[in-house]
Amino acid sequence: MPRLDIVAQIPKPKQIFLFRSCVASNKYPGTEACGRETLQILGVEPVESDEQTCCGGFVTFANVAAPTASMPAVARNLSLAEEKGLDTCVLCNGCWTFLNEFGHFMNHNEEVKASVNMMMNMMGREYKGTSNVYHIAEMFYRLKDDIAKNVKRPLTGIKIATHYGCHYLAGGKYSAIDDAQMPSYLEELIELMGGTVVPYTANRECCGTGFTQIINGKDSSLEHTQLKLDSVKEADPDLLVVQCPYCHSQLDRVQQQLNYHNAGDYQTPVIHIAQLVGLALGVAVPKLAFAAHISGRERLEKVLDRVGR
Amino acid sequence: MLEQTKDWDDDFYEKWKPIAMGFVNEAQKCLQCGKCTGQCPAAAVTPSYNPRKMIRDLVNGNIKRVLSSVELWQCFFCGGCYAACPMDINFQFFVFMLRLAAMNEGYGWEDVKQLEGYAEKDYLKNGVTVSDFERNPFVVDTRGDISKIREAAGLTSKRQVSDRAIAEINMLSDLTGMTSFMKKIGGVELLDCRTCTPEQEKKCKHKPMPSRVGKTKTHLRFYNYGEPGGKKHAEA
Repeated sequence: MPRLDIVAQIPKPKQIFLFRSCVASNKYPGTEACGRETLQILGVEPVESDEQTCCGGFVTFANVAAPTASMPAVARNLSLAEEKGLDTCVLCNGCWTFLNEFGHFMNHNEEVKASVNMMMNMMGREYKGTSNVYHIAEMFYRLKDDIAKNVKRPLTGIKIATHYGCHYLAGGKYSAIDDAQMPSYLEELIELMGGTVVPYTANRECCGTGFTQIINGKDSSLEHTQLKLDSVKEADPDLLVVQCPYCHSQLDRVQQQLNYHNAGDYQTPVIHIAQLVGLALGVAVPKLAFAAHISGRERLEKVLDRVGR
Repeated sequence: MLEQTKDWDDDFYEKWKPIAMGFVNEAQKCLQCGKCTGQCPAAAVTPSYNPRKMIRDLVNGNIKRVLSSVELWQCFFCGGCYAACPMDINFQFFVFMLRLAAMNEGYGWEDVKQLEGYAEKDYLKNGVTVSDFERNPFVVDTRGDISKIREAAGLTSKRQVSDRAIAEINMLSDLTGMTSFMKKIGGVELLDCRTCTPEQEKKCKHKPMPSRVGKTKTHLRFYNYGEPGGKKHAEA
């Protein structure tokens, strides 16, 4: 059950700073395009900036940089939104946790904030800590009435399973809009757009990327993803909806890898929540960019045929 | 690993807390209930990985066992332990800081070396950590041309990051000591699976370990928490 008191605190702004994600830009461009389009349809104008870089989360959790080294990079990215007087909307769970957690840390440690600002001032910027960070799924849940009004392609009869991703619910135990163990807001959004929710056993399991395990501990990473995919296959949904591009990349690409190793026939299309909302709100098909997806492309085309192109 | 009395440091946790910048605290409150281990994705595939035992050893001062273990490097950073914890112990940050401590003692460099390239060649050069270059050999043929897909979706053909932004993150990296730390790590070449030679494949499978990093002598890690288990070890 979503925490309605936290949802009520999310504003409905005229403009918002759309924070681009590395994986969404370079592996699944549909997420970035749909994030932009859907926010526009829902009456929030996305503002983007080329000055924005990667959040730096991967570099930090790979132990290549100490947290002190990545905090100024977080402050720099957040100061871009502060300059414009806007809140930040992110597409990725990793960006959300990283910006939120380290932003919170700096806001509550005056000494750290002062030393970060010393570096910021050298390049003519200042970190104040006034920009709140919201995940795009939170924004969708906040704007669910507008989504219900604007549905152009109802998802009638489409079976959809959900995957929330660890860094949103588990990492943000107190700041996320839902309970870490039994979340339900994505299900609510799906039913709102006319889809059918398919439950499966391993819903709350991690996707298996494990930040650096995908590079250094390939065996354990693949083994865990296979556990998850077996459970998804058992429920046999038409679509698996994720809210993190990193989970998207893992669940989509590993299916192909397992098929290659003859570990089973996995053909479940995986899409981001921004793409699903974009699909329902009638965003043009090339902007959904399903061409970049790897697994279950035929089933994805069938879904498109059923909801109308 | 053979344990010795001098490996135990009763004060370690209390001494270490202030250095760890507020990321490590409240471990003394641990109830040893084991909820963290019960829901852990890493423990599901490698049973020897056990967050509960690691917290116990940290608080009791058996620090050498934690730092020299392979298990320390098997965490997925999913944060499920924090979500499940009744005492709100944020164990994923412990792992993060403990890894830095382990590197100081000379453990785990063969893993970190594999990752330095992503910071140097992607993050600091292009401003994005995950580039459009495909490193997964199994999907190279099936995936479309990303720049064309991006153009069709109404985006610029390449993700734009301005030169000023890249210069600024490089400057921040220099100022905070990240660049010098990266130079110390050294890093290995990021291998391209499409043009892989048998020599490269050998390198890729057996990660080369540096004998010395800066003034630190490097060591091999141990399975300190029992039999590793998992598919890979079950077959062997």
